[in-house]
Amino acid sequence: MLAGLRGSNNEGVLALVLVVIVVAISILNPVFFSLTTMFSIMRGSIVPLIFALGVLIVIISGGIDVSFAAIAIFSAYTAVKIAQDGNFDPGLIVITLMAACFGALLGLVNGAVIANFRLPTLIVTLGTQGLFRGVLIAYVGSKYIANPPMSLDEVAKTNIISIVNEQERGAFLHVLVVPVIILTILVAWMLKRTMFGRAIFAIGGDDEAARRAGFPVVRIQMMVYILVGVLAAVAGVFHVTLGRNANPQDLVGNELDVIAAVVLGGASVFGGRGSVLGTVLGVLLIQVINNSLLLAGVPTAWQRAAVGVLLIVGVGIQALSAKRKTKRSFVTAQLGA
Amino acid sequence: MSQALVQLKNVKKSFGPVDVLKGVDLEVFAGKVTALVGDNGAGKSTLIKGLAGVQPYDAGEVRFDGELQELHSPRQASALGIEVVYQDLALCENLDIVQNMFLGRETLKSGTLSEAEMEAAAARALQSLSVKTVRSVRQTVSSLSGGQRQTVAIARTVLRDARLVILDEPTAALGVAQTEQVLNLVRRLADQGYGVLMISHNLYDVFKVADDIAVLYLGNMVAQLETAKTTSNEVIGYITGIATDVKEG
Repeated sequence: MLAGLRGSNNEGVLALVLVVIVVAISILNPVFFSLTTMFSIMRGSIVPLIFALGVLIVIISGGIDVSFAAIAIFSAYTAVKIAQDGNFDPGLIVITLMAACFGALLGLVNGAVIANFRLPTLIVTLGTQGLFRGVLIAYVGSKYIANPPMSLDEVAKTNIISIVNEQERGAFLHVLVVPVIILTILVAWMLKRTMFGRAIFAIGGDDEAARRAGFPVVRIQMMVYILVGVLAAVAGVFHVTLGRNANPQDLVGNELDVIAAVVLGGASVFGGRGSVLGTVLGVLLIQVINNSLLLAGVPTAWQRAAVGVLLIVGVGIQALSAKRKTKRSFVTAQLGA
Repeated sequence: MSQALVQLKNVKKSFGPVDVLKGVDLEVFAGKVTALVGDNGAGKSTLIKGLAGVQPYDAGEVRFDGELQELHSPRQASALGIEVVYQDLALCENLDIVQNMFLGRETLKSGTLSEAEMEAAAARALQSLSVKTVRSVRQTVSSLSGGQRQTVAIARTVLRDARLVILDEPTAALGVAQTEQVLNLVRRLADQGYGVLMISHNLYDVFKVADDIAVLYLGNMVAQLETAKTTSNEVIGYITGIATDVKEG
């Protein structure tokens, strides 16, 4: 029964850890346990969760992408700059679509290099991360845009739930939570219920077996990186919207938080395993920790350290359970014999 | 004797100056296990890769059900009903039995995977081969033993409407009891009417399960024997070339 609650990727354990941390912090600092905090954690999760969905897909397929933050800011900044230079305001949806096109293009660069030349994904995306960032600053612009299109500003100020007169602090649930929830459900559906999702798991498990089973492995890998690019671009636009400014120096450097969240969420760094539920929990856990350390008066520097430790713990658990599993299957082999 | 399911005539294949198959004849019958034996480098793998469409033959005739066929791609072979279980099995360890059995040929219902249907079909296929060794069809392959994995790989060919199942050393790397399990499965496969062509190095296995034994020696088919009418000494003679006067090279 306990095994059932644990979930196939330790989601149950993660949920338990999350609850324990929330309860512990609430006891230490009752201010933490409020709608205000909850909504603010949800707002803080908007951008990292979209990134994490992309990273989850690429990790399941057996690769890694560290260029997503560079793609995000490249796409979002470029789209906002085009709107600003052209002196028009197409609204959030069109800007997101524009950015998504750039994201798809940059993702295609990653995918084409990785799938066709079969190079290690970490090195390729490290390289393209620098490349995308360099091109952005050299050719598109290096100037901080303090006043993005008015329509984005309007969205930035929109909340779907506003509770103003709850003692002194108000609680606001930002409207962009809605598209993120929709995206999350779509990705979960794609991974679980479609042929494309099955192909991603198969390639991550054993790409030769996937090829022999008839999956077009190269094409699917390209599509994975394009999809990651599109998701990153959407996250970038949301980041610009929420921050109400477009800074070409933003985002890059915070990849660790996202990758740590996905790995904590049970995605195997060796590929072939991972779930959307785990990823959501992982992102929330990292957000809670970032938030609560701040409330507890821990300096920001230690937040980075805490996330680093969590990443190592997450990978450590994977390695340990992998070891246990080989032992266990040896035992069943004996019994089956 | 009835018509052969597969009939190869004077099949040739060379890689550059090396003639690997020098005009091989072979007949495989539905409902029978034909063992393909021969020493390393005799051309067993090349013969099988030609039938699977992976490496087409240079010359010669392939008849399937009496009809002349061209085999240029794995897809063509698969469309005829020729399925190969390679030694490495090509299973995804992270996926469960059902997912592996339907890998690449998933049943879809209005664009989405219909798991319930696949699960039922997979269970039926396993049942038709009287496989009782797996606890649940939703177990991941990583939790299965070597023999169970071989079973899944073989059952997958049944799901794919195979008529000829080619097995590449199905019992290599298996323990005694698991070898027994897999050999029983091979026998049942033939008893159900499938044609089975099995590469093996183990003459004990061959004599236990095969109806016919085909012996390759340096790219020549030196003998096709009925198991019941031969002895392992005779087969060893053919494998090592002592019993034949084929010139080397």
